[in-house]
Amino acid sequence: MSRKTTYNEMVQSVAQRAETTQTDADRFMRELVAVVEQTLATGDDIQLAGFGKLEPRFHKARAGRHPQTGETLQIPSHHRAAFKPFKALKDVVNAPFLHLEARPVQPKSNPLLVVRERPEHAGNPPFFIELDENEAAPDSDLIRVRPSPITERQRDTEKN
Amino acid sequence: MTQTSLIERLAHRLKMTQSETHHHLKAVTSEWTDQLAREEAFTIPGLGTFRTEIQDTRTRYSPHHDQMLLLPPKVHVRFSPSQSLKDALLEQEGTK
Repeated sequence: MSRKTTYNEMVQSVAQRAETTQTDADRFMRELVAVVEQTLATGDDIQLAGFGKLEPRFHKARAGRHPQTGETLQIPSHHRAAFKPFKALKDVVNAPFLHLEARPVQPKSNPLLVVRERPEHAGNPPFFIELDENEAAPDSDLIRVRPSPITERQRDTEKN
Repeated sequence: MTQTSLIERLAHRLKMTQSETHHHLKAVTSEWTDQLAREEAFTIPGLGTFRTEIQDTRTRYSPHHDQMLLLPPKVHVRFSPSQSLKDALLEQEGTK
């Protein structure tokens, strides 16, 4: 995030786009905010076509800590305004990456990772990815020491 | 509240026709979208701040494919409500 648009710049651009005066554009945005605030306060959500949905999201009661005094206190359950972007908005902001797809990575291509085939799983796809003893962990999420439940299930069905 | 009922309500408050209101609302949402597409953050007083956040390429295990996948970068839209909006919701609930 390199830059932040000011409210005045926003009003100018909206006025230009809507072919109206800046006063009208400002009045419109203020009324829109007022309606959004009233609607969210009543527990209803607001859908803005092509943009997203603003909704009051429930947060359950939890124990918190006063950041200055350090004392523990009970935060009651409450609603907080949340935003959920629609697909149209997600596609627009992700436009530079939309042509990219997830692709499989061979653990061997990562010099920090080595695949050790265990004797009891010989011949099966190598789903044991372990770190070389001499190397530091690049990312703990990459380490997988449990067999995949799906592979286990497939093996069971094949047996039966 | 759907966009249609929002337009009805705004048109009533602003004493505008529904088509004018729709035109204005479309200008507002498309301007917000364009700002976020340019990776620019903006704050609407009384509503909150919209910004984008780039999640870098990451490697994750896919149980479906049973292998490690390199996932492409992704842009997330983030919203943080303004203090007045947070207060309005809390006051309504009587928790403040």
